Amino acid sequence: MLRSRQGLLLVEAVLSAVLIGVGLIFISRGLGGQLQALARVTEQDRLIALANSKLAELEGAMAFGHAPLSGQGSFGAPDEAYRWAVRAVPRQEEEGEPPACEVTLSVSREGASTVSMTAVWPAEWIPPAWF
Amino acid sequence: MVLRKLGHGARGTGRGGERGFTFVELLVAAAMVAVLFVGLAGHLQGGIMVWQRVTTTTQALQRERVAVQRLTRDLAGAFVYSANAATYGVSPKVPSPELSAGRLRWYTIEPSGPARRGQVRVVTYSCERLQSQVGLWRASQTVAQARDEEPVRELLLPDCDSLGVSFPYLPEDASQPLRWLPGWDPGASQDLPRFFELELRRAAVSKPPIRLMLALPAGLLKPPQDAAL
Repeated sequence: MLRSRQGLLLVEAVLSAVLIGVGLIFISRGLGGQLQALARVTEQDRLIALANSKLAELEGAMAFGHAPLSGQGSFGAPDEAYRWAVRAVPRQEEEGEPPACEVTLSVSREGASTVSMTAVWPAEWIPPAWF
Repeated sequence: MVLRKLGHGARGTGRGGERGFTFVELLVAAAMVAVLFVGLAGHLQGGIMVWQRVTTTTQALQRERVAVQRLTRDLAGAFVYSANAATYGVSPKVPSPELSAGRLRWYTIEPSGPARRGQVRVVTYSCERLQSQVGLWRASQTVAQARDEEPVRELLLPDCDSLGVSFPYLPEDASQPLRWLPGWDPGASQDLPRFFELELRRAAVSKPPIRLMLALPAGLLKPPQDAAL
C-alpha cells in the first residue's frame, strides 16, 4: 500500500496494526502449544514409568503366588491421581504349550491420556476377577 | 484522521522541491514502531523462555530415562555371589552386597568382550556429594578391581539428594496385601529381593521424587525373618 508522496490513510494504518496483531496472536498460540506439548510429554513419561513399575510389582508378586485379587487400584502418594487396571485374555496356545494369558495393564489419570502395556503370563497366575 | 503530510511545502522542503516529514508524522511513526517493537520483544522473550523450558525439561527426562535404564539393566543380571556371608569379610575382601537407603550394591553378570561372555561385576549406586556435585553416582568394577581399587564413579543423575528404599514381604495371611518394610533381610543364604521400590529424592524442592519399582529376576519374595525390620 505504498504510495509515492502520500501519507498513510487511517484504514491502512489500522489494517497494518490488525495484521501485526494477528501475527502476534499466532506466535502466542504457537508458544502455548509448545508448552502444552511439553506437559503432555511429561505426563506420558510419568504414565509409562508408573505402568512399568506396576507391571514389575505384579509380576514379582504373582510369581510367588501373591496376586492382588482385585484387578484395579490406585497408586500411593504422590501419585494418588493415577489409577491402574488389568485385564487378562486367555491365549490361543499351540499343542503342547503351557496355558498362558495376555495381561494388559492400563494406567490412567482422569482427564489425561491412558498408557497400556501387555505381558504374557502363565494362566495359573491369573485370578478369576481379571478375566 | 488522515496521516497525510502537513504543511505543504511550508517546512522541510528538500532539494528539488520535495517535501519531508513533519514533526507530528515522525512522532506518530516512532510511536507505532515503538509499540510494534514492544510487542515483538515480549513475544521474543516468551519464545526464548519456552525454548529454555522445553530444552531443560527434555534433557532432565532424558537423563532420568538413562539412569532408570542403567539401573534396570544392572538389576536384571543381579545374582547372589556367595551364599556364605563370611565370603565378604575374609581377606582379600570383596565388598558385601548392600540394599539400603545409604547405598545400593550388588553383584551382576554383564555381557563383556567380543564373545559376549558374562563378566561378574560389583555395581554400586549412591546419592552423595562427590567432586562438589550432588547426585546419583554409579560405580562398576570387576571382582578383582573391587578387592583393591577405589571405584571410578560416574554421575548418573544430578540433583539426586537421597535414596529411599522399601521392600515387599509376604504376609502371614496370604489374603492380606504385601508388607512393605524399609530394610531388606537377606537371611542366611544372602537372598536378594524379587523387587523393591526405589525413591530418588531431588535437592530442588520443586522437583518431585522419582519412584520406581525395580525387579530382580533372581530375587525372592519371602516372609520377614527378622522382627526388628
